Amino acid sequence: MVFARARRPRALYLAYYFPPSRASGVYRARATANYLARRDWDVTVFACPMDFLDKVIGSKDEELLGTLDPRIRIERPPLNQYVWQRDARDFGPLRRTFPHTAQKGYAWTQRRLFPEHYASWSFASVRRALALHMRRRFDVVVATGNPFSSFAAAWLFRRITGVPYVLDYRDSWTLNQFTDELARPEGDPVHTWERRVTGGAAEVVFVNEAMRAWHAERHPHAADRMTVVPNAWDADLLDLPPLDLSVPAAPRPIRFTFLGTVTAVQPVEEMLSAFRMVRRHADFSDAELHIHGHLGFFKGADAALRGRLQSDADDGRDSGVRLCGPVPKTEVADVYRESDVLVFLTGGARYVTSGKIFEYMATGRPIVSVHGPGIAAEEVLDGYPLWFNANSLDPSALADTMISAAKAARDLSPEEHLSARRHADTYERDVVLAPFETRLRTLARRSS
Amino acid sequence: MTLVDEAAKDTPGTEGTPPHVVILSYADPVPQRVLAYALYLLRRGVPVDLVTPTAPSSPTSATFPHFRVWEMKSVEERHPVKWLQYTVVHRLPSGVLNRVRRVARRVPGGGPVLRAERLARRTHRRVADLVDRRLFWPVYDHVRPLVLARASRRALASIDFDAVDRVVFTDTPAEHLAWKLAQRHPETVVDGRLDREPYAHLEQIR
Repeated sequence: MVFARARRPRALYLAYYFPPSRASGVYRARATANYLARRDWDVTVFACPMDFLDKVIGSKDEELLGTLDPRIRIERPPLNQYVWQRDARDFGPLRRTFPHTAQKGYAWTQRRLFPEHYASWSFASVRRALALHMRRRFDVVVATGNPFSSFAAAWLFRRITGVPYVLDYRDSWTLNQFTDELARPEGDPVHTWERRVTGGAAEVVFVNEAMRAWHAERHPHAADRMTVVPNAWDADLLDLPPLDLSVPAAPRPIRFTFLGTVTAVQPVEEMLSAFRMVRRHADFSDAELHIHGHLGFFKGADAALRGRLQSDADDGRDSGVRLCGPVPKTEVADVYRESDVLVFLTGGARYVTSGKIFEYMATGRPIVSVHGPGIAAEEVLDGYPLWFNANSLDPSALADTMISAAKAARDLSPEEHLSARRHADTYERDVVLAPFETRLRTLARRSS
Repeated sequence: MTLVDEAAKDTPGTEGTPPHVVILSYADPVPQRVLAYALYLLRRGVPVDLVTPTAPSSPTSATFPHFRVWEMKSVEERHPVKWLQYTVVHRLPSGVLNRVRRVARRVPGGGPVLRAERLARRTHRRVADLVDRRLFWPVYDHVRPLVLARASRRALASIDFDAVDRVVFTDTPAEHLAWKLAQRHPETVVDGRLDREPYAHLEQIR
């Protein structure tokens, strides 16, 4: 007797930023889709159109595409790029003939339909999802924000089809994480939308406890369905065997490394001032600070950031600061291998975790914090034996901490290194995603 | 700490061809950010043609000989749509009232008529203003880009587009003309940003 094989659970994943995007949130989306596919889910991802990455963002990480599970189906619903169109040749028939009419129409959709520039992508996603759902039923929808119009798409899809959805707050929607204030004033339609979409969600996921608690207080109707799935590091992207510390390394200047995207909200000046002080220390006068990664997320943002980073380097002497540019994902491990101390430079306050910190911990190297005190990342770093935190942005306090970290790097023992890596192992992506996937499976089973 | 900027190799003015910029800005008066941009270019020796309703008080062609301003306000006013609106809403009723006033002044005992004329004039002013704001402009705004494109034809004919490397449009009414220029001059950049980067390498000469 032959039994029909049980149907694989089918998930629709609304992840606007998905490879080959190089947005900071892309790793969480990539890993979630890969993990579900590996656990025998039938995964369809709706991502942003490619011309958005080419024309608006201005960069891609093609190698990330190669890290996706081939079983994942990727769809790219269209987006009305009205606000990003700067080249007159990109204008559509309405805009190029009646630009004022086009502007009025666009403003109306923002005011009346959904207050976000990505709204058209979400409505296109719902249309496409319905077409796919008619052919073969989705069991669950996972929407990750930003953009938060993906939450509205999940909500609308559920209204039409009854398929449950899970919201993944990679970022905050109505909370400004950098000022701890509301991102939009009370009474703004986004608050109504947030109440609506959280109310209908089967689960609402946050990246840290501070974010969950803030939203639970604000939306008590959904508090019992709010959970935390922290960010993590991806073992498949970071091949770093433990250091062989039995062989003394060749002498070279101590190297501080920042790897990630430099943004306008980061305390760049404080970091540079502290580093200048470090170089005044007799043991570290030749220390180097290597900055790897893009300057800003959007096209054209690099000039101002470059100016901030170079502002102290124009006196003709070598400042020890090296702007090394973006690093392909395949070479990230090499950068870590050649680093002595990792600089955790980030903006924001208690609601900010930053995905980068998990990768930093996985290296088992000293990490020096350059951020305001009390940020959510401290929850994660707490217990990491090689964490050096000044708990302040005062340059002299930062410099002392950087010097301590540099000394720890110089005298690093195998036990310390392995203990640091053990701490990081609890934040390996599969470990973090396993309970989430179990909950999704239960939800899908109930839905089908 | 200097990075090699590959993009700089393709910037205007690096291979002997002097850059030349045309700015389309139909807000009246010209916004400060647009004037600041024009000034940035002019100070680097870049010839600028500004197509706008009313010439700004600064910069001027007197201070920067390579700066030309093309004023569009009077040309736009002469366009049939604007002319018809002005005639029907303002000129004709005013003409009728002027005539009534003249006749009433000549006729003995025309005081009540003059009072009625004054009342009618006040009412006309209010109604004409209302018609302008509530009726004409909401509709005219939609066709204004077409009107401006037509009105700007003569000015644009005087510009040698073979020498122009960039057309910058700074507001919505300029978008239709910008698109037309993009079709007509495929080699020219037609961009909505006040992008200084392509000219940052040029030395500031004043």
